[in-house]
Amino acid sequence: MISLNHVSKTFNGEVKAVDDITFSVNPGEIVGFIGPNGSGKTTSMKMMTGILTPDEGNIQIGEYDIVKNGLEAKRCIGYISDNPDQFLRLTGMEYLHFISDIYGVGQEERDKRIEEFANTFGVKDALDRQMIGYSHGMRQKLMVMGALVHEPDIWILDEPMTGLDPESSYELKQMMRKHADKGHAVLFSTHVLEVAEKLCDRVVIIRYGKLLYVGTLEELESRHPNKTLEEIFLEMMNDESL
Amino acid sequence: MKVYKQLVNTFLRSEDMDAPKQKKQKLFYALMGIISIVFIMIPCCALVGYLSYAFALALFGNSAGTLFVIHFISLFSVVFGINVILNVFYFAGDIEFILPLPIQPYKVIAAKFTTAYFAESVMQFIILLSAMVGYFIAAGGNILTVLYALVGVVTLPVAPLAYCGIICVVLMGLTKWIRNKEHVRKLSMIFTLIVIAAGVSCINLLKDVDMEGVANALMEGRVAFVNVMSVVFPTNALLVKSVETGSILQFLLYILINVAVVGLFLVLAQFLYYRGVLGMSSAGGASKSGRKKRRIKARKPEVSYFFKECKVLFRTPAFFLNCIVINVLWPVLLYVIYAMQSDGGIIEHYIVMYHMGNETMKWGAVLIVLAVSVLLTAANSIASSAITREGKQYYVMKYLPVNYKKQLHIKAFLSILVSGAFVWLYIIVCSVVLDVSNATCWYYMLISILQVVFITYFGIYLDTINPKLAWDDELNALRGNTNVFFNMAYAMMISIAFAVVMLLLFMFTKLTLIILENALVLVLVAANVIMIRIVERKGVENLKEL
Repeated sequence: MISLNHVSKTFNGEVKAVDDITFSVNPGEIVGFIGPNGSGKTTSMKMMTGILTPDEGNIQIGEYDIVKNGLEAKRCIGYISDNPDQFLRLTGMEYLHFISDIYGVGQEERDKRIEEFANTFGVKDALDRQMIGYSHGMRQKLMVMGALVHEPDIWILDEPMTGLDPESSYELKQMMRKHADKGHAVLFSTHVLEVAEKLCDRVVIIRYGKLLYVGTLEELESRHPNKTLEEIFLEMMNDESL
Repeated sequence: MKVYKQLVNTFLRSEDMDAPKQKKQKLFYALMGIISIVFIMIPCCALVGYLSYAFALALFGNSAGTLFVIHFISLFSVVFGINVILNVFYFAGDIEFILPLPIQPYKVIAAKFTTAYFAESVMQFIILLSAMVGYFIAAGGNILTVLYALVGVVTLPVAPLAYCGIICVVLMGLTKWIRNKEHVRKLSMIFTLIVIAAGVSCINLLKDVDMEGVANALMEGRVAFVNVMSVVFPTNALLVKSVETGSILQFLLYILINVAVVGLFLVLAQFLYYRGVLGMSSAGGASKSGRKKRRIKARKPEVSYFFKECKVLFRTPAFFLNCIVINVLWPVLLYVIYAMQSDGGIIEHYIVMYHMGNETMKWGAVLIVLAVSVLLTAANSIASSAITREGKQYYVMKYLPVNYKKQLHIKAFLSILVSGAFVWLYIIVCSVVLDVSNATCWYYMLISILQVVFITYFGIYLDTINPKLAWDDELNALRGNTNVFFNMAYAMMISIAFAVVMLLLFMFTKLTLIILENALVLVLVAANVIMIRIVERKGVENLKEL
């Protein structure tokens, strides 16, 4: 469903943020995107969503190339960026309806989904207030709701759990699992290895813009016997020979 | 002192707007810079310099006229300073990083004040210098008075800005009821309008008085505006007098009062600043929407995007003040010009000539319509800040499944709608006053909307080249945004070029007024088609590269 082929991105002709990465996220999979700060996760995700254009390689979203068929590809994606401070002058309800309008969600469908999400994330009473008055966590909940309100096949979530309370975080993880089980694809970045361990079918590990590992966590652990995931990750990050 | 310097350097750096990266865009920006100097700075300086010169000449070297001009500059400084100071002191994004640092409040406020002073006063320095030059040309001077004047040019903006600082620090530190971000912003907006209204009322006192009468009134101290302002800004009077007489005593007193005002401000800040800031950080933000519980109906993506743009523009006080309310200032300006005319002044003379069927006057009306349309559209900056207003979240434009061309057209439509509505309103009012035929009124409306469209698309194109996306508070998005300034300069250039070319055609060819008017429509339509194509191609490319 998501496929990156030899994708590279350089900023200002100097900093190579993403260097020849190739991986895919298949239907029915949750893939964790793991790497330290500045490793190229967000840049990669921005290329997948059409925010940035790759210098080399191509990205396939469903059956569409994100560069050649940008609009069609974008319609398949539900994206949560790493910053929830968007559309702060709109009320939560206006924001959700705006996103629904943009993605062409019908009246009854959207009303039903917004109602469901509002109950799930406990934001019903806040929806008629401008988002500028929301806390960081509340804004993040609205971003999650906005990303999913059009029921996209592909979820691309940049650190979606940041700022969420434990209850909402749990709900989101459940939703991710259910979404993948329906045959859809979920790619999400995280710094929390425990989350990746519990939730992901496969992981992609990236450092300095280069892929270090693509596969299941079981495979990774079997290559490094008697070590915890945290120890393996730290070892990989510090091993300059990789 | 070291902490203060470091803070100033840091704050000033965050005020900067990045220059474009590509060579072609750099060249284009340099060209726009030159246009700005020629069509905004030089005319402004020339006007102020001339006023000061003419008053000094009429008053035989007396500085009362120059004082009158400087009081005006100070009044403007306070009007715009209040908003700037509030934003820099209380709404800037750096506050939450500074609060936990072990720095005394007066040092923080001194650094923020210095930043605001440098950011806001550069243009003021140049205008003040023009006023002084105008005075010296008419009245002469010596090394000492020139030295006083130079010190004055740099230090005159200090007191008005310090007044703004005192008002803000006291209000924010002592009044709990004001500690709601939205209330504060709305109040600052109301304050601005009140000061403008007060200024206009003062101008109204000059009604029916000719230039000689004004000069005499100034000389005899009968101008209420100057008398009131001399009490509010004693520093202005002292500086101007010391420049006129060369009195070192008055100059030293000027310096002393400036130091005292800044000192008082810093003392108040030491006790009240953090109290106000903490009050703000614990105060509520935006209140509830007035449309609570109303079911929102599904709309087409384009319509929904348009309404989203409207909500951002109308609900954000800084945008509302600078992009919407500013359109109301045009009649105020016209009224000021009208009020300063004595009986039989240029406006009334013009109306009489117009009704006598004078073709030059009729053609002049066409050019005035064009100029007002251009200047209003450029001054409200709706178009030239269209991308800038997105801020750090500009990338949302890029992942939404709405093509860039459509997004730019929607943004342009909003600018055309607002600017066009105000321009049309003024045209209709002026048409009624001038008692022109319906056909003429429709013609004015047609050419004005064509001009509005052209300047809108040019403004949008400018903002796609190098939008100011890194801002912490909304006023900062518009303040120091070179695109807004460049768009205005370009608008001035266009107005002047149109006026000159069309007047030459009218005066030196045998073309009739009707032919020229039709030709003008064709030229405007062609210019619009080209400009829209540029935005659709180059503008979209620029957006992709952001």
